[in-house]
Amino acid sequence: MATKLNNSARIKLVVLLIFACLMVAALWKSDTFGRQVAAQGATPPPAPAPAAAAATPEPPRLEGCIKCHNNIEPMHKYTATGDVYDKLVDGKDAQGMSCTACHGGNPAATTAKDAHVQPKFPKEWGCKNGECGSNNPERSNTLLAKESKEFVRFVNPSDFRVISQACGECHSDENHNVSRGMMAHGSMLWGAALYNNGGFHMKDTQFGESYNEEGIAQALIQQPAPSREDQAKKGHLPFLEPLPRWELSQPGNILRVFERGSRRRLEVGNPDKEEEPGKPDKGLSPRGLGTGNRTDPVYLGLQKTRLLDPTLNFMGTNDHAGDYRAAGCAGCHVIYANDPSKAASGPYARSGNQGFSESADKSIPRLESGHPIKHQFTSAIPTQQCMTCHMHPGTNMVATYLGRTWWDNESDGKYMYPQDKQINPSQSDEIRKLDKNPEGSSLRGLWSDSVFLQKTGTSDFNAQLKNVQFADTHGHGWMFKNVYKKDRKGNLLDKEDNIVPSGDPNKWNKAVHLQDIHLERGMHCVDCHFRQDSHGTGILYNEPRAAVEIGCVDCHGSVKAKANTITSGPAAMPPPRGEITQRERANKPVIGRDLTRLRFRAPDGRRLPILEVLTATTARNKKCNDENGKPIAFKAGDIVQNAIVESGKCWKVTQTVDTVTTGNVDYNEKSSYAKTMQRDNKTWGDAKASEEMLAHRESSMTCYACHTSWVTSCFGCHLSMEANRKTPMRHNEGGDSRNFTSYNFQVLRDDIFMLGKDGTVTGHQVAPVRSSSAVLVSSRNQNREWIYSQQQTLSAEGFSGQAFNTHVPHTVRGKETQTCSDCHVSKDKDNNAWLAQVMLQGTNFVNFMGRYVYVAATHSLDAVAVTEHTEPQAVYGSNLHKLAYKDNYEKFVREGRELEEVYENKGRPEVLQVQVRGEYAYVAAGKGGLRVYDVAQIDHKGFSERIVTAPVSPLGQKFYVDTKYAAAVAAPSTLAVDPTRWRTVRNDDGSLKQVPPDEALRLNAEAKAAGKAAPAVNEEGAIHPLYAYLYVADREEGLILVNAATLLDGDPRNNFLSRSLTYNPGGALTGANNITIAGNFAYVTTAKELVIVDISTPLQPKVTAQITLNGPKSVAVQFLYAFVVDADGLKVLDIREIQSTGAVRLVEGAMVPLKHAHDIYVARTYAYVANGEEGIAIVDVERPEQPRLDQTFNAEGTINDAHAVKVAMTNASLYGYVADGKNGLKILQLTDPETMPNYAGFSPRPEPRLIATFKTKGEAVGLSKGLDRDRGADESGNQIAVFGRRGARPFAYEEVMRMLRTNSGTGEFFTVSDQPVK
Amino acid sequence: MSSGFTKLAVWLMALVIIGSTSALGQSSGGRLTGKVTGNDGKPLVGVTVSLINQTNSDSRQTRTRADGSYSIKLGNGAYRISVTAPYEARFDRGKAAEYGTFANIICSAPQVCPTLENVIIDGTERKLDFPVVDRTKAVTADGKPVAPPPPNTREVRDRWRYLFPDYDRYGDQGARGRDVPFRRGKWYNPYDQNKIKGDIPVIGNDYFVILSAVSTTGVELRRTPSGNNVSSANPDSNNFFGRPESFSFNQTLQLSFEFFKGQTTFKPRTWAVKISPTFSIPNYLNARENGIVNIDVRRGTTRTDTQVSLEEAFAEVKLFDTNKNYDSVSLRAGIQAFNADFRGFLFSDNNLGGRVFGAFSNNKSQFNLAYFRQIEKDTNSGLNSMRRLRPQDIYIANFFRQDFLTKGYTIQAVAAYNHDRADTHYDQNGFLVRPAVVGSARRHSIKAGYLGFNGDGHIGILNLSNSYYYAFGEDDFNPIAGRKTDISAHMAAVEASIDRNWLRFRASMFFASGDNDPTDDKARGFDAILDDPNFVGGQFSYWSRQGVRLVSTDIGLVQPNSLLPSLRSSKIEGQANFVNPGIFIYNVGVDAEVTQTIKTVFNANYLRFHRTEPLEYVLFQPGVRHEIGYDLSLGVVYRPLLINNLTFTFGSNIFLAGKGFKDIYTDRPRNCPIPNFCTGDVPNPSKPQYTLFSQMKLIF
Repeated sequence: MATKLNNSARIKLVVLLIFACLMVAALWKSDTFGRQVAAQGATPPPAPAPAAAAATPEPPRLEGCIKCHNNIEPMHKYTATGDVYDKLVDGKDAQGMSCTACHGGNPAATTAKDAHVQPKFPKEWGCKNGECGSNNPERSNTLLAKESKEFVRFVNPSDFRVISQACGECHSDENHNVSRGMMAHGSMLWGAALYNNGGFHMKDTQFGESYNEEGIAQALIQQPAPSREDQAKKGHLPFLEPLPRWELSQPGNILRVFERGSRRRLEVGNPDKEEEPGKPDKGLSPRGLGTGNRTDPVYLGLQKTRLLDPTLNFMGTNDHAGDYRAAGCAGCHVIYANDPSKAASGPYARSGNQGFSESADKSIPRLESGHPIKHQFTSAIPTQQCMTCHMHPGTNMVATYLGRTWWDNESDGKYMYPQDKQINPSQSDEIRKLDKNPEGSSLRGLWSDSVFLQKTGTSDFNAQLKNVQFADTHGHGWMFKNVYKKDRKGNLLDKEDNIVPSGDPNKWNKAVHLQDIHLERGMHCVDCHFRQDSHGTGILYNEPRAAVEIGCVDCHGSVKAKANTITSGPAAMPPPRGEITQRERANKPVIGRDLTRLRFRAPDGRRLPILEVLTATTARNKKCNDENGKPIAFKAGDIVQNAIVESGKCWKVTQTVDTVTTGNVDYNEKSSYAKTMQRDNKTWGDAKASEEMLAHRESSMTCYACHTSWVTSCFGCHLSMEANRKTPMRHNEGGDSRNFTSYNFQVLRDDIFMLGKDGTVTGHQVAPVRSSSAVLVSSRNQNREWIYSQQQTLSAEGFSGQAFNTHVPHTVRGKETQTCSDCHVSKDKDNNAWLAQVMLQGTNFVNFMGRYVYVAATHSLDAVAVTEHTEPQAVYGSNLHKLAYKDNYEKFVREGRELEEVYENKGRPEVLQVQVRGEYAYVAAGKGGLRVYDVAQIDHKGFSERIVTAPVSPLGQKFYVDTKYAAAVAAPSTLAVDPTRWRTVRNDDGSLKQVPPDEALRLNAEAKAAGKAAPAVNEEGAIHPLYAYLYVADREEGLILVNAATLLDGDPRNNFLSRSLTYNPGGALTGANNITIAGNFAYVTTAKELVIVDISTPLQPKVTAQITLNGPKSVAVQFLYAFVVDADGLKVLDIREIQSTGAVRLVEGAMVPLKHAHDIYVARTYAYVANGEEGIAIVDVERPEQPRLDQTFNAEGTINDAHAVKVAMTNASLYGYVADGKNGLKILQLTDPETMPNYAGFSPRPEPRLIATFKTKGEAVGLSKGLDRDRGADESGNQIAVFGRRGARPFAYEEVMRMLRTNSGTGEFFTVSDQPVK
Repeated sequence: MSSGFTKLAVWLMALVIIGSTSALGQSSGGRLTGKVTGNDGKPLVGVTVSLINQTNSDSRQTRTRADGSYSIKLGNGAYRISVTAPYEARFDRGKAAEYGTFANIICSAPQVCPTLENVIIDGTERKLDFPVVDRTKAVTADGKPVAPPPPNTREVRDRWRYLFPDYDRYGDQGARGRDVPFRRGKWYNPYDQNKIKGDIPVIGNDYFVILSAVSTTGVELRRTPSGNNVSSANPDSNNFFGRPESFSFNQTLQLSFEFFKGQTTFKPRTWAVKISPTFSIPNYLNARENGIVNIDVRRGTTRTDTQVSLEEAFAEVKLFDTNKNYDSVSLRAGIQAFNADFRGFLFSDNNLGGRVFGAFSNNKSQFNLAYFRQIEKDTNSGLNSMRRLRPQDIYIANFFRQDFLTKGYTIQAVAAYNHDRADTHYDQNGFLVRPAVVGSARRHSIKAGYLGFNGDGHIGILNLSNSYYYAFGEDDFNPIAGRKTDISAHMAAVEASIDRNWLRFRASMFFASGDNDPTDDKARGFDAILDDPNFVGGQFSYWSRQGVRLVSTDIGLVQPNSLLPSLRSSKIEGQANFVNPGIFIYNVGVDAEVTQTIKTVFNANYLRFHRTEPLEYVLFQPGVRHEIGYDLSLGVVYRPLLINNLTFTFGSNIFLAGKGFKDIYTDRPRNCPIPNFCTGDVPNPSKPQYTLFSQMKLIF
């Protein structure tokens, strides 16, 4: 038969055979057989428990994890009854939690491979051959949101995504509150950035970060919805949305490049024939807002920059000392080694700053960064743990609490930049370095190298430095320096206010390090911000302080009474019902938690109250040592605080009332003087005087308005965007895309103090104010063209985006507080400049000049490039240039310090004076009248003509106003302010609409009178209409007002300027040659007079005063005085009454004779006078009524035709810019950290040095003033710059007067002495 | 039967293979069984029991049967067990020991423990019974249904569709069309944000669609010399030249559909497909002589035709990123637009090909490696005729370098090769265009190489655009030369301009070499592959815009949208011809931005032939002089809304013939041997040549 088999049958047979074989093979591999195979395998399964075994107690079977991790610390250390566990018991911690109860995984497995949860993204978790790294990966960004829930839980059971399966099971309230708290959603950061820079028009933030279990973004909704009242007064928010995609954001700030009119998009390798050479299409998208690249860079920044992240949703970047931390609960409660300083890290200081593990679990690698110190929860959270997030920005309150702030990138730079050769980073270096540290200067410095970075902050490194001392923690790769006590001249001071000589080798120990006194006494953040402040309440808040329950008085009491120990901050919540009744009976506040009832777990397991009010018995038994190790004497009635972090420590809390009560051991005369001084500026000492009588009332002032030793100010953060950067999105879905914004702080100061009115949530009290970075923005497109460069932003409702905010500086000191003369006119009248700063009027000191200096060169307008293009933007020839650009500097010096890069536009007919604001330059063109030049393309390499007088013909716009002879032009401010914007109002039904600003103010005033929530929800004040105009001083026509608001509105088609008003009453202004605007007044100089014109109603001006002078040329106003130069020299006017009575007094005898004075510029306590052929006269005006010629500088005779002078600051140094007539532009370095130990003072004596020159073709007769970065309000109290808290603002005129005059600002001007007057 | 068996065997084998692979993936395991009961202790059917492997996150589900039992086979490991909504399991902490050694019960409230962890499967069968509750049927103590608490979170999977609140910044709703932030787009508004314009993804976060439509409407009135041909439309006419005026109306509509993965601008696209069907509806020409609209004089003097074409149909894929600056290299294949240099001197077309392009060094350098296989063009509309491919291969490699020597100046090197094979082709109107009907009209192949060096941008205040090409190669039978010729020709162009606020003052020069000896074996006249230059006035200038035919031949002196007097039969359908007179063009011009919405362009050109020998040879007319004439043009571009979606273009130009041009287009010999004998009608070029045109472009 076989022989009969044909081919087809054979094939069938073969197929069947194969089938049979496969069947056998499959069954063999499948379970049926597999089970038997497994049974005979090397690792037998646990034998089924025989019935007999149940009878005898068997030791509990341990989880497989213990096989490797047997020595690991118990995560929970305490039982409910206070037993302390040092080790796991039966594989469980004090709360009976086994490993897998939190981490998941397979408890039965005994090999890591079987037991450990496997990630979805093994590469990102450092896995090799199935074994993953146990440390937190570097810069994992949104990895946690993308991972599987199982793995997230395995890595960190306290992560918010999985918390309900672990921590949340027992700590459900904390789970709820923390995951909806500020530290999780971070909304205040996004809200401030968006509102201040015009990206969004609601001041109460709308956006926050949160993820659901699947890692998907989610909105947080407040249930029940907060009432309008709670929203307005307590800062509660109804919801927070995830950030919208930035690709769809629509720019709020319509810079020129965002205007309509773009023609095309460019394609790689496919040129457009229509593109005009030398005039690229400037647009970002041929379509509408929010298409193509016509999007808002702020939204992009929020997703991508490192400045505002990460929040607790994600882990730290784990790439620098200071960045090691986990996410979720462990973000705070599990300590990582980040800072070896005792002050910051307390008991954890000895663990160093490398994020190394000290766990007894031997399976954790020892010398690997990114591990917690121990596998253990703690409530003893050191300040440094807070700092791992609260270092953004480096001027934040945790840094200041530690007495630190960002380094300025210049001081002691010779140790920080390479000494032999400058670093020219390659493109790939740039990206690699910026990924770790987003600050542009680091590319040129040594500190981007992690080995070098690790050295900085050590005592060896600090020992060689002469100007700064670094901290030994470097979150984000940043350098933090210590802040020391200084006088206004910049000299270091010791405890007794003696000057510490700069050459003293022991100076850093003698000078006072201005740490917060609470820190100095051993208090960490958590010793004041207790559970609720950290965990939140589950309510969504609009600003951090709205979420704070603690207040100074809660522990320290008031002038009148001891502390009632009940929290009283904006977020203070009602206690349990029973306690309310008790308090009612005791006549205590019913809102707030009682700190004597609030307990924490001490390291020995005991539960201790935070505060104790000692009785006679407890006072006897209480044993604590002070910081010097001596026992503290307690008595009944003392309020004592027990330390949470520093084990066994306690403090007797000083009571304010004791310091003002004579005879009390804590009595302090100065304290009494300050706190009991009455409004007549004479009577003091009566602590019982009624609140109404007191000058410094608790109801209207924050404690820290005075108890602040220093205030940090970051003047000028340059946010510079590059299109060609593949960078990750650090929130939501993650992923890479184009565009990255580096940030570059420019001027970091700790020398100033400013005050303003706090926001609505915090009760409109007087509070310290700081600069919120004074942001400047730049952007480079795909062709690396600067499509806008160093531009200011505008906030949503029209104030300048050079933002300020009221804040709690966290720099409380006992002795180094603000004193009387820090806020009031001193008896020596030597604090005029200081007070100008305090009142936010600015001091022309930290002004921003930028890369281009605009020179009125008679025949042309010249924009001279004076700085390097990359960060740090060092002025050519300066000390910083030498440090950071050694090779460029040497070449520059070799070639004679001549500047080369200039862009010019021929004057029409001439250029006599120039002021740049935003993307326009205003020019006084003599017979040409007022001319506006478009300078938007000044830094755009694609343009052959970078300055134009008119982008289109006069038919399409009018960028000029003809006048007979415009001698001078003044913009009322160098800040861009838009008074024409409408305000957002909430209707009764909750919907929103915009109304004119006047209408909004009216509605809010009505609501305030009725005690209702403000309908104009942003609660912004008025923008004075005078800011809508340009002011031209015409030799023949007098004062001319030109409305320039259309230049700001984002519509290029309505840019037709026209004269709004000509004012020359009786020819009083004929011969006008110069004009300065200060507050509601225009100071116009004519041939014989100074005419002061009131422009408080701009279109109805009136002459306030006329002062006869000898050919006045220029005026500078500083607070209570105006300085004027005429043919005799510098004279001083007392203008304190100008707004009240209009009286102006020429101060007799206050005169510095100068022969050729043309122009005056006052920067803090020095006036700089362009003194013609004699060069620059520097006049000391610290005491304005006694001006004194300090020095004359002419650079060895080379400055001999000085016409104008301006001053500005770059990094740590001050620069002078001189229009030196026929010689052109001269740049002087006025202060220098290398040569002047006191460079960082409020007003160090300048030591000018010529560093660069530029020869203009025509005579250099004028210079544009730099951007005022410290001017939040003008001399009349009109707000100019935006304030970052709803309802916060600078002082109004009347409020300033209250600080200067008795009788609530209507009486006599008074002076004060810092020593109590008996 | 045999085939049935084979099928069965194949199926069985497939089953076994699938079975064995799945068995291999799950080398060992066990079974979890149990019973699910309700609150009342009764078994529940249809409860979905969910199991998640605690180490590899695998999720498995099974449903309970009628008796409440479930059974599921699981691999070895630790599992988390729960049931899906509306049910919720209720594990009992008191029974932890029953659940297993490591059992971990997760509760959301006391007695509310819906999840059990550490269910260990280790090869045996495990039994796990538990009760569940139906959450939808939960009631309060007084019997009312429990209302779920209002949600305090809301998932936002799609962050693209955030509705910004209305914002009227200046209280004028964006008067006069000013852009205002947060304005919501509508699908029919192509300007604002729009899902069908690629602003918002259509799927997930990465997939976008762009639909667009471009309508171009043009009318043109022109006077160009035309021959009277064999049959005049005017019966009384006996002149050599016909009446030169003509009128055209042109309506094209291009629809385009693009689908891509990536992002509109913030990422190079991972891949994209685009197709752009283009319709010419209609293309209308009204001439005044017969034989112009068609070789067949019976067709009269007007022509209306329509054409459907694909001007774009390509797929693109990104090959790799070159660096972290997001420079990348992509491949695009299909019908695509490509311009080989800055101004379109050499090759600028939408045609079929493949192109690898990309950038490196932070977009400072860009390159193309392109190959085109030309699609035949439609004669009258100039669009791609989808009927056939032309035997012509074009290879182009170019390289751009930005910021060369000075910032803002880009240079470019080009190498190209045009292999145009011998072919016979009649155009739509019946004219033979390949080979050209001149001299010895014989099929011939051209192999021409080009080396070019171009620049564009500005050096200081001087705007500069410059170009130079050298052409070489061979034409195996040049019809004019009547022999094989070696090509050696040059082209140079330079435009310099200076901006003065809203004015741009321009001067430029264009040179294409001519052939001094049309009959030798050297071809020295320059011709491009398929040029479409924007130079010396571009679309506004007469010489550049109009095609001027050489009467009595079927070739053109110059082709429409070209500057080269190439003596080709047709730019788009004919072959390059390197035996030609060459040209000098001198230009001055002024561009003015009159308003934000109106731009005017004025140009004055003076044109001369480089060599007239080829003309004399072709026309059998000795003594043709060099001067071509003056070309004055004025163009206006008006965008009333300051946006691209509506653009009007108006152009007018006038061409004043010079001596050489008159020599060509006058039927009166210059040196009439007998006075008055030669007098005919007024010579054609004595009236100025002109164009008047306007165009409206609507873009959706």
